[in-house]
Amino acid sequence: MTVAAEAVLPRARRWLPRLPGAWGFYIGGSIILALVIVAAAAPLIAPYNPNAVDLTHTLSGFSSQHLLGTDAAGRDILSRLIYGTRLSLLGPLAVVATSVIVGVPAGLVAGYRGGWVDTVVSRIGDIVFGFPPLLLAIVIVATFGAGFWTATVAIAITYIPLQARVARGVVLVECRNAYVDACKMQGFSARRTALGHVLPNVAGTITAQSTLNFGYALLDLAGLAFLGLGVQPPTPDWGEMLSDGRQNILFSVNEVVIASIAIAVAVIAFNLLGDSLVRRLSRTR
Amino acid sequence: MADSAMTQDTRKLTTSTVSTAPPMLEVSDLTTTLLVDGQPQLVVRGMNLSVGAGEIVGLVGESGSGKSITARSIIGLLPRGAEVTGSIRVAGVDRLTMSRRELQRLRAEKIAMIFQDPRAHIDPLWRIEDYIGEGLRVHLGMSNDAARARSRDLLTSLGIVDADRVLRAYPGQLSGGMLQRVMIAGALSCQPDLIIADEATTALDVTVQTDILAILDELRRTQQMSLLFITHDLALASVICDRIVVMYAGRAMLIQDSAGMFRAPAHPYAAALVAARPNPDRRVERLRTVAGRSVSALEAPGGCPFRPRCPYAEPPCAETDVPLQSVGPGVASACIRINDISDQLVESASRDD
Amino acid sequence: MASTVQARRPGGPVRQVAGTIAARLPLSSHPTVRYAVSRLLASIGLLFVASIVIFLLEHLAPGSPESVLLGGRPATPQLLAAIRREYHLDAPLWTQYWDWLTGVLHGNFGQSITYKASVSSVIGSRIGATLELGVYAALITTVIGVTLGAVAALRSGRFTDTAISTLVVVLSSISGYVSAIVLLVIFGVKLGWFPILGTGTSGTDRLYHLTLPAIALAISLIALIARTTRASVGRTLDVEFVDTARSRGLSERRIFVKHVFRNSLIPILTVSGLAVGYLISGAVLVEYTFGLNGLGSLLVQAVEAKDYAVVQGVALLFTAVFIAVNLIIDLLYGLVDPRVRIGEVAA
Repeated sequence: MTVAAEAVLPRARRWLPRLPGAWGFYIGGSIILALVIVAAAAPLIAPYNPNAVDLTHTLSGFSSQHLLGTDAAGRDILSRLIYGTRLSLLGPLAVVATSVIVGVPAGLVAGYRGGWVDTVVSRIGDIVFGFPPLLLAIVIVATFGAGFWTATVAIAITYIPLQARVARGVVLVECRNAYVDACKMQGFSARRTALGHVLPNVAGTITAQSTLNFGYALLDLAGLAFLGLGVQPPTPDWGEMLSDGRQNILFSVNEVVIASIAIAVAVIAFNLLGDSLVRRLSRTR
Repeated sequence: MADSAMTQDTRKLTTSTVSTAPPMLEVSDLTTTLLVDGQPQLVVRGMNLSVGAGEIVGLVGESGSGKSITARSIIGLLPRGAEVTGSIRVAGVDRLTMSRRELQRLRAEKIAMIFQDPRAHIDPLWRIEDYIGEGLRVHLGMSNDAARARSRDLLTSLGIVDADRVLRAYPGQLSGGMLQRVMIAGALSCQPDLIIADEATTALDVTVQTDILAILDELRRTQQMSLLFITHDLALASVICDRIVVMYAGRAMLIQDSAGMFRAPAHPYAAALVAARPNPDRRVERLRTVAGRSVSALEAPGGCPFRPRCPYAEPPCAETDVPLQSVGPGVASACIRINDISDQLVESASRDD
Repeated sequence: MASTVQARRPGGPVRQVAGTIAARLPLSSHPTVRYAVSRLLASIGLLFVASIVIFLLEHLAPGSPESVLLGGRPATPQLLAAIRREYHLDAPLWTQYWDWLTGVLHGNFGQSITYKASVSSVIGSRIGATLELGVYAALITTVIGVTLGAVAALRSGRFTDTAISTLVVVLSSISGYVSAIVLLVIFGVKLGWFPILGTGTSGTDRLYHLTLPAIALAISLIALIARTTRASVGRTLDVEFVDTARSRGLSERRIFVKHVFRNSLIPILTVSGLAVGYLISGAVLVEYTFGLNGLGSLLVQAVEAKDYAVVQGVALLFTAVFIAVNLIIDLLYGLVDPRVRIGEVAA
């Protein structure tokens, strides 16, 4: 790293959370790992069937039978929370995977080749970004009907151009580096230069961006479910629990508070991990 | 005890012998420490200099020698965490004991500064007339019209023909040379007694540089303004300065009148700088350089800091810090061997190879 | 995060196209006019394309357009025929779009199935609450966000800065609806300080009802604005002209107000445009949470009831506001920064 960069960085770094980079990486990573384990082992961990209705114990508080209480239908909140981890993580995973699989190649080609490909990719992005965030997703859900997969596809559509634009930007910066010209002069094909040399260099940025996107997508999907436009009851999901709990908020706040905490913790975990990756990247540059 | 005696001594030495009035600026035993990555770093170490009324003094040194920090210590523009000790007297008043208000008044009325890069040093969002007139409006309470009229006069006196167009322009629309004139006009606007020019012409074309120097020289003659002219270019300093202070590793090595310095430099470092000056009259095989690398105050060894690069160094040079000592009328040198080697220095400065 | 912010702003390369078009128009050679016209053209173009997307989506819905438009009414042949006639379903798609667009431009967004009234009257009856909520939240966001960011920058590296940065990191991790629920639970349900539902009657009661939702909406945006302000003011404080101003004996207050703040405005403005987008999406969630009768909750209800005319109307309105605000921001750049006006720096 050059002396000038050294001199500039500390000031910018001060604004980031006062955790050393590795801290955020391990805390965020451990929370995410724990969530994945919970999702995978849900049937083993959950004390009850998440959909088992018990009308004699509705909206009960914390107790030894129901550690986190029950909802309006007498279902065990802890079990619903545990099972809810599955769709709450699967949705964002699908969004991030789609946006990377579709967006990154599009951005890579647009940035590397320029010309009409760049024009088309950029224009599509412009259209998507012309809508307020989430509004386009709501309109798409309005068209195709509420549900987990519609909501996931709708959110994915808004993240694809985002990922493409980020990839394109990184490629444009990378292509200014001398090594790209060096590859061209050695007679490597455009495809080989792009895939073999530029892609590995942009992979770090894409990973960091995807981690951050995972958190945002989780929020967006839970938001749609909260509005009744995503996961439909009685399927357990954190956003759906928010929606369910909101209806009974005057009688018990347990369900909304627990679901809010789960969402917030997951989002913070992805933010911590993403930020630490971003910082690690900026340090190695 | 010894310290204060030395300060007394150097104050007498560093003051111009020509002037009898109290000097416009008097810096003695100035030490400045900056915080670098949370660690205090010594940048200026026992610096002495003075500027008399209507005098132009050059402050010359390689980059890292601490000349800019000296200037910034004088006007109080140091980054947070900086510590300044010693004394800085402006027209007899100690700058370092001033309150924030008093310092603002001092800057508003007595001192002005011209910086190296005018494009970065002028707010890009305001018109030139707003920039030049800001001091007039704020400090002198002038109306917009009066401030504009005065700004126009200033620009005209600095040799700008279409002053009205320049006044209406934004900084981004003007050339670097023009902007430097604008900055000078801004510095002159409230008629300061002392101007500090920190590498004010370094970034400019040679022809523009000459124009700016002529303007500064003219101002000194017509308005009795004092000028501290900071540059790394010894030849440039010799063009307009009455006296030159040569700085090395955070302290003054030599104070001497410019003509005398080129004829008979009273310090081996100054002699090396004079000799390293390219001579346009002769083609040479290889340009002379000062051997070795310039060091900062922090890296400087004990004793004379120039010792490792000095061809005349002897064991005693390493033993004690060498204070400035009078070696002739108006000449002060920080070389303990100066009486032994002065003839050799004269010879090396006049060598024509 | 920074890349997200940059990437998400509407406009982008569309502006370049509009810029070239504007450059060829025989309007004026004055850069300010050219700049304004090119921005205006870009916004209109973007809004036009957005309207096509909103219109076409309805026609992509599963099932025939007639059944979509029936919205659950019994499918008598007479009714179907009436619908086909009313919506010109036999005409080509672009004719239908053109009819819809000309209607929209005349303030006619069609008929709402659920409300049995014109969409414009339904929107008209709901727009007040959303507008008040939005303006209220925007005020809170701007005042608190800019103040926090500026104070943090001026106290950079000290305790105040650390405290504000930590607060901002926490706030930015809380999305609008999560903060809405938390505020609702604490101040509405547990403490009972604020009403839980509804918009209130008028005047102070309305302000009282909207306070909690507006704070909820503002929270995550405060973080965004504060972060940007902190970074931007911090950068400007490092620029050399601040030294010049100090060397001229100007007061710190004057230096901040006249030089530092104005020079820091462009990034803050840029992010404000994005914040308006989040404000709109956030309003949908917050109105739903607090049971406010605004456009956001109208949109959610219309989606559930498959009331497409309402969905289209509200979506188009929101998008138009988003694009218009960003157009205004683009024009403000020129006002703030003469370099944009004289075309020295591309915005």
